Amino acid sequence: MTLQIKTAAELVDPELEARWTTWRVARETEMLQAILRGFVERPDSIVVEEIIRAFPDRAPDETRAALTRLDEDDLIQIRDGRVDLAYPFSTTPTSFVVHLSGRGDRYVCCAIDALGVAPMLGESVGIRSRCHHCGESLEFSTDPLGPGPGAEGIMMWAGKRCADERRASTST
Amino acid sequence: MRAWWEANPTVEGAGTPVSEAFKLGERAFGGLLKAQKP
Repeated sequence: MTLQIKTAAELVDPELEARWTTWRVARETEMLQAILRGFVERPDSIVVEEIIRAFPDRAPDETRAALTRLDEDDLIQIRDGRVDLAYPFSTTPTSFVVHLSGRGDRYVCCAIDALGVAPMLGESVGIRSRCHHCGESLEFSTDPLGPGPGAEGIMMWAGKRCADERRASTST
Repeated sequence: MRAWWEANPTVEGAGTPVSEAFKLGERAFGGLLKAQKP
């Protein structure tokens, strides 16, 4: 078998396309956007009660149920009463770090998530990681239009995951 | 990547340049919080 090099279009299959459409709709909801903004502004996990307080017009049980659905849909992860992961961000250390200007470093779940932060925020960010093979440090910047010159020659591995696997368990 | 893959030839998947991977990240997250920065 030879090493396959693919374009972005070749990596996207109909199943992934459908999953992304679902995720995109969920990410555009008020609650998930509030959670993502929380991760942008600070590196800590978010207490569920804090999210409940941020939506005073909703019954607490309704907000809890919405958060549970987001967790079940693998868009966030709730542990011990705190949201500790909301793609692309993770409060648990990973191999991928994004530097946000004026706000510091944030861990993200995988390389694609790291590359999605600049277009998500509409601002330049720094990305740090390591080569999975030799451990060499990798560092470059991206802006909302694409990776900077420091990314030239760097390749990303897009692995397959099982249908019932959560992204959080495989992407670091 | 080639050296890593030769050491791990059974791993399923494919390589892609960072510029192509960026397109995937942009597609997943592009514009989500752009207009809502505090």
